[in-house]
Amino acid sequence: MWLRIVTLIQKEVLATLRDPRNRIALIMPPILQLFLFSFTGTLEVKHVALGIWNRDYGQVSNELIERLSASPNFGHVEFAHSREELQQMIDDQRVMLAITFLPDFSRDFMEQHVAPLQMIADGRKSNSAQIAQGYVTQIVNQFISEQTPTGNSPNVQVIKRTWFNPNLDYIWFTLPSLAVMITLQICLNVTAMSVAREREMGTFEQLLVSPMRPLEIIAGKSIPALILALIEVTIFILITIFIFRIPFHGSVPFLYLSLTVFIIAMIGIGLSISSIAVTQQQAMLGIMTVLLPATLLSGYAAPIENMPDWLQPFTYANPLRYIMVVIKGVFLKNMPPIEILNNTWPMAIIALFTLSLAAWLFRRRLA
Amino acid sequence: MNTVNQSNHGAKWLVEVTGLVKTFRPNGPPALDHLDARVPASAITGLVGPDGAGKTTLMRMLAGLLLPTSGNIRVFGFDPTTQPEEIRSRIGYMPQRFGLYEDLSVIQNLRLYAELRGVIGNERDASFERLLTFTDLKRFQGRKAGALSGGMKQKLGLACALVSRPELLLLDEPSVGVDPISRRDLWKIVQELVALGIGVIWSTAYLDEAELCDAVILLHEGKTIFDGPPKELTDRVRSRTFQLRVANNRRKILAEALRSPEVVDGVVQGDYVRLVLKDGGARGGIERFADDRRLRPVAPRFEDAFVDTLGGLPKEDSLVAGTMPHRQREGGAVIEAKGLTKRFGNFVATDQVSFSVKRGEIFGLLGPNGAGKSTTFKMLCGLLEPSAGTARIAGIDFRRSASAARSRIGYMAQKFSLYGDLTVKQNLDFFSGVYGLSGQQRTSAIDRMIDAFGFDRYLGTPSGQLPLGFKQRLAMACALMHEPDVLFLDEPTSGVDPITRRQFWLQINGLVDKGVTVMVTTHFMDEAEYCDRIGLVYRGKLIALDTPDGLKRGVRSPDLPEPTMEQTFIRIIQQFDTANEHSSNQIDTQIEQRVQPQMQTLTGPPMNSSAKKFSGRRLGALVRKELIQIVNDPSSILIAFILPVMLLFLFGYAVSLDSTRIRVGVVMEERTAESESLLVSLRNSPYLDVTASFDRGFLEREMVAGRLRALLVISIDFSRRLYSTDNPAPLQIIADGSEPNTATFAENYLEAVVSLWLQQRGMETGTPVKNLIDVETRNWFNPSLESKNYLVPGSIAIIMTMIGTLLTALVVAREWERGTMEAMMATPVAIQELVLGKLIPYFLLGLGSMLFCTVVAVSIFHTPLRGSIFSLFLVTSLFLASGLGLGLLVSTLSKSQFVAGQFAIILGFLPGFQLSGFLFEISSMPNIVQLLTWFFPARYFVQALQTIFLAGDIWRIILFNSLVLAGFATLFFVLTARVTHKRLA
Repeated sequence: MWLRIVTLIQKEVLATLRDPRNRIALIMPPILQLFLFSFTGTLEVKHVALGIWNRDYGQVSNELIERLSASPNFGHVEFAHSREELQQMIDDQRVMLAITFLPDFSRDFMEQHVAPLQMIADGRKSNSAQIAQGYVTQIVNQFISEQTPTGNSPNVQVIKRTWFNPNLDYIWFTLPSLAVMITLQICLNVTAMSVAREREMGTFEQLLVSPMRPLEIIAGKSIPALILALIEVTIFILITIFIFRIPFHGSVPFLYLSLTVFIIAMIGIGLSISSIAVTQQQAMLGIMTVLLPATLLSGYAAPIENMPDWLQPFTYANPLRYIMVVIKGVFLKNMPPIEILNNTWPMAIIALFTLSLAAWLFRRRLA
Repeated sequence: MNTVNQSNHGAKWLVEVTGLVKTFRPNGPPALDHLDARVPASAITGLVGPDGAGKTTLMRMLAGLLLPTSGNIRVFGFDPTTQPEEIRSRIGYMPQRFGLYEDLSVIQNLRLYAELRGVIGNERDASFERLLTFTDLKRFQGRKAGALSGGMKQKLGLACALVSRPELLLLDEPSVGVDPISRRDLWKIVQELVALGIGVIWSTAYLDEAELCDAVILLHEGKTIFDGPPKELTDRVRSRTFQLRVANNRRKILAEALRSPEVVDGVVQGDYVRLVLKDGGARGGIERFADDRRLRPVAPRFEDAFVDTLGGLPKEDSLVAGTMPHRQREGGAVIEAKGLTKRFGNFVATDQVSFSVKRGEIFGLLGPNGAGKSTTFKMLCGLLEPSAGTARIAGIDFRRSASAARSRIGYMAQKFSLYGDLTVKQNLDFFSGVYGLSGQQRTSAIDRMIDAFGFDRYLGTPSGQLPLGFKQRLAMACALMHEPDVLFLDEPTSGVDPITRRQFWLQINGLVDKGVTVMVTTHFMDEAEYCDRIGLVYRGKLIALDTPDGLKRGVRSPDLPEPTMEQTFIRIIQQFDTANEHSSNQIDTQIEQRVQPQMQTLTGPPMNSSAKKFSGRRLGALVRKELIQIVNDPSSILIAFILPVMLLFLFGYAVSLDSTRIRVGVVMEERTAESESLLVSLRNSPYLDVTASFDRGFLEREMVAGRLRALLVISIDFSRRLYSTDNPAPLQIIADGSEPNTATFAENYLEAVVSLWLQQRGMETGTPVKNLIDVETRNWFNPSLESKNYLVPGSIAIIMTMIGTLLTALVVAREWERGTMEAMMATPVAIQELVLGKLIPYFLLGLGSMLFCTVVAVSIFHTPLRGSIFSLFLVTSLFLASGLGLGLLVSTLSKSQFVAGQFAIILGFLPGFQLSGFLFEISSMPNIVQLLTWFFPARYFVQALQTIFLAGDIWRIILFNSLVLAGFATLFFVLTARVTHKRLA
């Protein structure tokens, strides 16, 4: 039995590497994605365009305007001279925020009255707009605290620190997750397409006629995928650490344990797709149908806690959810092994389930 | 009688080819090598040769689908290189696999071809009537072409080719894979057509068909080796063909006879061994092989002449048999079928089939397609599980020990399933390992095969690049390394040239001599002669089981004194049908009566009007065809409706950037009125979900685990320093930077709560803080600030991208796959029509999907739609156009669905997701990347959608984006039109 499995593994590795189309698919998209998307997958808000209608021209407003302009968060400032102009700026999306300093703004401030400042945000980009508003508020508050004598009022100094990612570099957040995503894609591609391709070539029949048992075929197809996926993920991790210089703090053996379990779980899904799909085309569609929800429900694009309460339990069935926690934990947080294990055993259960499903589907297909 | 309007300028030949050369790969062997040929009218010209001889290449060139590398072609006096349209309007073309649209019904297929060839109005109805009647498909009009039997598909293919009264019919292997009965029917129809003046080129690998043609062009490795009436060729071996009467051990005698230098060729034929001898060779040495020591002269066959022309059989022994061990001819059946039954739902494919095969026997399983033959075969080699009954190999029941049973079997599939990318050696390694050979055993088995088959110089060649003969040998080697008891051969020699076929059977005979049992299925009747016994499966039952001669004797009758295998076969089926009162839809004895009257009106001047440059009618036909296919294809529905709903759902609910309740921890290092008060404020905030604790370590661990996103540390001297001027109380906010977006929000929320608390505290203690600047914020277009509102319109963009590119990628791939593209191109259809005919239906599908998504977005997600439907349709149409254009370009260039799919994802979906600005802010990306986003249509679409949904009709934005999208669309279409030729290569 082992001989047959080993033979199949050898063949799979050879066939995968020798097929030119596969070679392209294994190398090009991942590299493309890694380099391109690590730069685009950012929710950061930088270089925001700001529109200002200064009806005041006083000292305070000038000071504030200067501070806003100087801030690295704001890319450039456009000045409007009428309500219509300001409105158009927002409508045309030339600016994301538009601030109006009403007349008497500076005088009100000096005389210790409340000085009103109007801010209009482009709700079409509500996330970024909110963050940008935060920047404005910060600058305003900073200004106020420098001016106002505190006297007897309660006062605090807020010290802000960011752990795990001191500069809030988005790349630190994106890259580890991306490494996992790409590995996942490869894993699914290799397994889901493999049986479909053999069926189309006619060699699958040849396998079925041989003494190989269904379980042996599954083992023979899973192990190469596992090996390939682990190699690719290692390459990515090395690139992430040495080229992008993202710190790596965690435990290597536990990371690989977790990754292995994850990959096995996904292989099970890939093989299941493979047994259902009759053509390669269908296999591709199957991959997409699985990949999209898995990605979106994993915390990759947006955190799970933002999802509605009724939706969150579904993420427990998604192995991607757990590995995201692990990979970020290991890269950025020096996650202790116990936490890694905490996130690994659910994946193991899922893996068991998906592999059994694949085995069952295989047998059914054979009848 | 010549009733066809000869428009070929009075010349005698319809087709003239001189010195034609075609090479596909610059350094490779030529597919056609200085070919000369001529085809007359009113005749069936057979284009004969094995796979790879160049038949299809030649036919495609005649139809103008391929360009020659050099040489001259004239069809009706026109040159297909420069005047293809003149030719296409006068020919009918039937490609391999018939060129039918499986999802369309019989009548829909006919209508499509009629429209494409400009056959309209009353003429058309009359034409259909004739065609349907003489093909006997009238009662199957409404049936989908995919549900027809092989023979019926063949006739439909022919009808579609005849719809416009062509002068020349090009039929590319019309009888492949079709049982002998249907083949005969088709032949009769074609003969009638020829009698009326139509010229027919019929390409085939069956030499018995070649014999019946009026003239044959024999192709071998791209050269013409003979051109003329078949009789001329046959005459070459006149008085050189003989039969030897051999009662027993025919195969052995044959092998011995072949070793003599006088013998050029030999096969087994019934009770006899048939030989072709050299010219003027001594006869004496041969006569001794016969039982009665006599050489009986016999009429020559075309096949004999063919083999002789090719140089006869090379002299070699079955080397591989030499390597096999001799098995004892023990008793006991090696293959045993008992009451084998297979049901698919209500359909009984195989019904109680029982027989057994002894050791060293060649058993043939024959029968028309779809009659249960393949099902039986599959059950016996373990590929299918029987619904009832047992299948045993060497006494081992498949149901009990499938693996053990399979290890005794060797299997050769029809098209030699080998791993094309792996080398010969790697294939041998693999198959030997799979069958349990390792170490010394494996090495010696492989070495034996290499010696026996001569693989030496091919060891490192990928098997996909081997010549056909060697592929066959490799497949055989892989099946034999583990010295199986039984060899299963599934149509092993279809498409192979006669010499290779004979060599193959010599090898098999040698193996059988050593005690290997063979079960074979075939459509070649002469191969049936090699079998010791034949089982005929028809309508799921085993209706005959006997030696070939036994079967022949059974149907011998006064009108059929010396039946051939084929006639025997047909007669047995007829008898069965009559006995069981089945309607003979298999055999058409009335064909002559039915066909004749219709034939007269089948010829006349070609019916289609001038081949216009662009025809709306043709376009309409193509669009209708595509729509029908879409409706019938589950993947299109999946992509257009199910996937979008799923995505909308996910984007609407799963991807939310609104951090509504952030989990934070509060470290209470002291417990005072102040800190408690602050804690209460924090807990009261609707944006925060607070866990308070004295244990800082615990909370920190929670942050590491990801269960808290931020910590607020109230230090031990908080209250004391609260009112201090120069050393105010510190409040640490520690945010989890691994989720930067959430971290920012967490900080903002915490700070806001602290700020508010300070104010309130100040008021309570009588020391109010004046917040001197009041920032009043208004959010335009999205007052509730739900990220969903702007994500949903953006996600519609992603969905449209997917539909556009993914669908078209699939579309073209499917067309190529099914071989219908060829048939299309041989009609007068213009390139623009082809392209538009593909795009318009998918465009409509996309718009439909868009409407669907919008309705879902507005009604379920309550996304506002403030702009007009018109502007929505405008931008969507333009975006779809560009997406479809890109998809079509990609699939036309790649012709491989795998590559097309990858591109669709890389160029379509992923940039849509990452670079369009729908989720990730473009202005925050590095400048180079920002520049890149200008090249992706998705970016413009997203901006337009977000504006239309949330803001309304802001025309400056809408127009600008529309113009850019229109520009993209035009670019892709122009490129596609340039790249699509009505050529195949």
